[in-house]
Amino acid sequence: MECRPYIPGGSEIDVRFNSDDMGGLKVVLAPALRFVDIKQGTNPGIEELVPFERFMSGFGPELTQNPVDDTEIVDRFKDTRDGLTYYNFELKNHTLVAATAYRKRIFIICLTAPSRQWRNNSDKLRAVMKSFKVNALDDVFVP
Amino acid sequence: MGWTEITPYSFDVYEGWTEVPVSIADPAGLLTPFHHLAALRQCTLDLYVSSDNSCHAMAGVTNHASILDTKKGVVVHAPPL
Repeated sequence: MECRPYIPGGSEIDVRFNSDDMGGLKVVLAPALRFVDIKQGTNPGIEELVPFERFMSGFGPELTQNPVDDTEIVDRFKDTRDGLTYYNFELKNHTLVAATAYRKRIFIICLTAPSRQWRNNSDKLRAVMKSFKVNALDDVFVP
Repeated sequence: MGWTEITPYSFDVYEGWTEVPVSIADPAGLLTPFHHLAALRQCTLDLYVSSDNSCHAMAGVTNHASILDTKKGVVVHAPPL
């Protein structure tokens, strides 16, 4: 597979939630074929599609409407949920992002909160980010 | 036209979070996908057609729509109900 430079192609927001007290979230489903070639019959994970170090520079503008460089990222880590690898990011501007790849789609949850809501609810928002998962265990992948 | 099913995903939200529409064609989870398709009938939408021929409307994936033009501002005709 060869990664091409990512060009934002418009938002693909699948769902959006808001809370007056805590902030807002959206789930973006981005077709991976938009920026990478995938061999037929394969189901690559996110690490095979987008390098961890380059994820936010590629998807950040679509998620936050601003460029996102390394200085904006205050925390980043990978974890595994139901066998899939997830990238997790926390940005200076109180934005949380978790992302994985499955069946040629990048599944992304993006939460953001104004400063006051962030001060009171950042742990809860992080819990929402970590609860995000694609239900791959119930799925039978047929190439 | 080919299409690919979206694998279900989940996340936890606390009390007080409410789903809001993401577009004028999105009923924000209040209607079934079948009715959602009906809501798309004869609407002008911003669509993305990926190279695997799946058709991504702003609020989801239509599996019975026909595309008249793959540029922005296409018209999607859903089949008769």
